[in-house]
Amino acid sequence: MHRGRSGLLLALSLGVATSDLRAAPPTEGRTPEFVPEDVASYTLKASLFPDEHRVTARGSITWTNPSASPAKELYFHLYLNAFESRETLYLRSPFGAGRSGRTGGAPGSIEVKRLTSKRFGDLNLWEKATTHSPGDSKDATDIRVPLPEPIAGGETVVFEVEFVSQLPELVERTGYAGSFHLVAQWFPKLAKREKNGQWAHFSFHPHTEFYADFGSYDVTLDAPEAFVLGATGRRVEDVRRQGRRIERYQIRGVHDFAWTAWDAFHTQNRDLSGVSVTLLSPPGAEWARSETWRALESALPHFSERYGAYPYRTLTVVHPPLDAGPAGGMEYPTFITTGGSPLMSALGIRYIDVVTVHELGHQWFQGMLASNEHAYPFLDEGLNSYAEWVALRQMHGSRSVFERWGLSLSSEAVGRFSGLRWGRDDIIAQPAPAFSGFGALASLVYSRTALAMTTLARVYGAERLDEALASYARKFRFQHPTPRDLLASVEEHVGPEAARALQQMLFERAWSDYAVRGVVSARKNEADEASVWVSRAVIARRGPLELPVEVILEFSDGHRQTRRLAGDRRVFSLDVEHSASLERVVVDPKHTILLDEDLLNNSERRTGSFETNRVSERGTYLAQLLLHALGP
Amino acid sequence: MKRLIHSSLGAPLRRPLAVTLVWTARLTAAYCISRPLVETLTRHIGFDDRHLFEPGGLLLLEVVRLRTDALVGALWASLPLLMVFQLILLGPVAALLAALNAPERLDLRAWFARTGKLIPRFTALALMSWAAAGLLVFLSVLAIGLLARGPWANLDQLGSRIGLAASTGAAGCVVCLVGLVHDLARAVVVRDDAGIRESLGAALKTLARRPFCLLGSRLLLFCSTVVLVAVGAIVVARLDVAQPGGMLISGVRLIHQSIAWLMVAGQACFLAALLRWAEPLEERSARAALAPPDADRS
Repeated sequence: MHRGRSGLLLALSLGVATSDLRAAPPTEGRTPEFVPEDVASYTLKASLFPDEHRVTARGSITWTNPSASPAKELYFHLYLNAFESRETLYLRSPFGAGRSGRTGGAPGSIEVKRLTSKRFGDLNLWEKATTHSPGDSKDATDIRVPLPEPIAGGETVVFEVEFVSQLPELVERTGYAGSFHLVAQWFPKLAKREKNGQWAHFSFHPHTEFYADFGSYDVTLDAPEAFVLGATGRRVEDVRRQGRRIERYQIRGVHDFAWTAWDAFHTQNRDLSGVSVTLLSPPGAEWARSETWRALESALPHFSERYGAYPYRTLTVVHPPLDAGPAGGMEYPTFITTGGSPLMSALGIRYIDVVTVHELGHQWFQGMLASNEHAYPFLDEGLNSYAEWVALRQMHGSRSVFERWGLSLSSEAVGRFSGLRWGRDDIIAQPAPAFSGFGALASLVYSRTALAMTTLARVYGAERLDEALASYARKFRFQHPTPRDLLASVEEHVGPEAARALQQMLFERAWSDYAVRGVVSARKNEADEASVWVSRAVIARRGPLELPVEVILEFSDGHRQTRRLAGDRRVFSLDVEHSASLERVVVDPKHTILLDEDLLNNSERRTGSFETNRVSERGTYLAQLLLHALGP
Repeated sequence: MKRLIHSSLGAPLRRPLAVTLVWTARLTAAYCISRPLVETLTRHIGFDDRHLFEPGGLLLLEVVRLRTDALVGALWASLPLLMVFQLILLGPVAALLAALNAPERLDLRAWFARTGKLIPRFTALALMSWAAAGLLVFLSVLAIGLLARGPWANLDQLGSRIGLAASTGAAGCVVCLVGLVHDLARAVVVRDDAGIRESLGAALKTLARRPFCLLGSRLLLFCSTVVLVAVGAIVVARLDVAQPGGMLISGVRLIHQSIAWLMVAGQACFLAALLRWAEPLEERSARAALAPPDADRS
């Protein structure tokens, strides 16, 4: 509460409007909204020149040293420099950059013309800045600026800055395609200074993007009048002057600012749960608009209810044009981009739902829970994927990813396909650059984390895990939580066993595979036809995870017994006496352990065979269709 | 009704036995072709196959994930069966065309005899058609590859996608034209007892003379097939096949096989139309023109 007041006072002193953060909604059971302290605030005036794909800007950066120790230097992230040549850390991978696989067309860069401060006698500090990232002469995305004298702990300094950003042809996240511009990572951005006085600074890597201090942003954008703009924050000014459109955006309690400009955007506005939502999409993309609205209408209240109310007044959702695909699927504070094509929708793939819900979820898991994505990407991408699965399940049940022709796929099924691919090869909870490629990161961080969380929810109770996650989300709102905070919340709300299992799954490559190893049954007295049957089911637990599991025993007279195994042994022998023989054993019939490496060995029948007529029927019909298509 | 029966659209009603013969042959072939895949799938699951159709597809994807090699192996094992049955199925198609061409219902012996006579020429035409289609596909892939490295290299993502879609579509249309010429040639072989070269000449001539009529009919047949399959899929999707019950799966089988029969019936309509539209052979036309008026009565 104290930090909230000081943040508010600082913002007022800067002249930044505070009304963009909504007052705490008077909903029962919700924790009071926490107003974050401003650490790094930016007041910028930027002009877009779309023909050159260039932004010129000037303004001020107000920074408060959040640590007790004096700062002798500043670190700035100049992430647009990641696209200035193919030798940068971002682009030099032989496999293409990040998820788009592109290696870049026209280059992008950022040139800081001036960085001064009255505190340092208006000296241009940038003249002493390093020319490249630490230890990497080919990369200039992480720049150190030595200070003439240290900034004391808690001291606030205002810097004046002037820079030119050349946008690249879209590789991923930022750039242009034709006259469409997504302007992200476009300004010199201060790295995060930890409480212990260390700078958390790093070069722009294709696997990671975020870690910064919260602050206020007051950004005036200026583009040709024909362009439609959308940006982080609330638009407080909109004027036309000399053929230019000038819009001013303000916001508090965020750690980044992104914007878009295109002369063909179709704009729609709606009020969703008290949030003014703007949807910017290509003309004629009605299919995308209706699906995006449906996803937002369901997910915004869902996330607010679970992880704390959405605190901002606005949300801007951008559906990029088809030729700007790599701009899709990104999250910035109060500003997200979606994606997808009409073909996907026609084929029954719920891509727009998935990507919209996922990026919206990032408003909590990264936007407000501003963990260090570079060090622990699973804290935002992994937890957010779990949150996305839960939200999609609420929308579509188990048909959350695909539904057509009588078949459907859930997030969990697709997640298993992806998350078990890398299996035990690597650790989930490791720094983003440590992953061998985006495929490994996607598999482990996105899918396997969500599988681990879903497993905990199913084994120990979804309500308890949801409580743990909700508590974590509310307690660390507008802070920078760590894995320890997550584990503590799970321990408190779900229990030490669950916390231990989660730690094993995240840090120790833990896995599990329950398998039925044998089903035997015989009369107790062979000579007596009326004698009871003595049966034994043998179940093996492979892997270090000791998760409790349910077993179903089915007898020949139709009787069923359910047993629960504690999961603490390697082999379980279940002996049972019954008037009929034991015919079938199914371990984990409800598929609670989604990290089970092999679900096909979870059941065994002692005698008889299984029904196969459905597969036979469908296989024959599909072959008939093929023969008809080939048409002899 | 009488008019309908005597039109091309009424062909399946006039010759239901022939349509049923083709449907039965295809069903048998499809059953055999699908066996390796079905056996592989069911051998690797320790549960009733209805679980593969459960909403969410957890176990379906699990089979695909864990048994990919076995499933791919099964698909490869189906390939030779598919090729053999493609040849075997020429017989029933020849029988269908022979039945459609006959003004009256043929007795079984005459029908089989006529069909037997057609099979060598049908086989030759089929092999030529498949070779031509294969060559066209190969050349298309080659051309698309060259375009992608050449003129398309400078296009943006959308432009290259449009280029790829357009050229793939164009290649697909050319392959369809090969199929149409194949069908026309078979119609000429059946109707005029023509040789391979004559029938191909007449087929090309017909295509040149009635391109819109032929392509329109082919498109109509394609669209009606797509609609049929889609309607079937929608109906079957409403039946929850993950539920236990033999009746349910019998119902699904009935729906699917009705669609399969109707697809063959649609093909019969089209072939009947081709028998009418195919240009007469040039030599025979000339001979007919020179012959005395009552010559063909003999």
